[in-house]
Amino acid sequence: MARAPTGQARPLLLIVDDDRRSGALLGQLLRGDGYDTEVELGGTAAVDRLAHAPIPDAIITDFHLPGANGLVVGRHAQARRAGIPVFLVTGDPDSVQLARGVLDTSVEVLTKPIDYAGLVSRLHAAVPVLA
Amino acid sequence: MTLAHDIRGRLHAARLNWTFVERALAKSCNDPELLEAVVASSDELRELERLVLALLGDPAPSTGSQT
Repeated sequence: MARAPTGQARPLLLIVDDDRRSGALLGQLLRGDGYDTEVELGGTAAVDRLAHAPIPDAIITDFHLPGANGLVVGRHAQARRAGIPVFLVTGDPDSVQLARGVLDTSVEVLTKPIDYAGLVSRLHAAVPVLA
Repeated sequence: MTLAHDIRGRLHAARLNWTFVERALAKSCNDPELLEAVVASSDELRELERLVLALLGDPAPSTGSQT
């Protein structure tokens, strides 16, 4: 599901996590790996953010969120930009099965705890960082 | 939300924090004993994580699966 970044110097990732520290840490780590990041703390906030430019190059969203859940965020992102890579992070394996039935095939489901190096590898494949 | 969900969430947060610590120290720390202790702690955390996930019926941390 690799796609060209939006034209910015560094691809933009939207991270959606209601755990403020985890979202901020993930953003900081990913900035060190070549991405720009924005963090939203809830599903409704993420949907609101997706209404404005720039549309992120990929979404990393928790499943359980205040307001809209990660499925809603993912579907909204894909409606705004077809084929946008969505990484759905969940600590609830049952939600993984739900996601498989509802979301676009470009969605990757990650079960907590995620392997950070594995996530970066998949991100680089989906949204390459220019040297 | 289940206990398993909460445990996975806390493991996730711990792993992210520890990844951050490892990276920060790898850049700035010149104390080999401290670095060795950090690596050993990281290995122990991963092993503990593996054991807990096995108890939960999930054999390994996720590197993702495509829908």
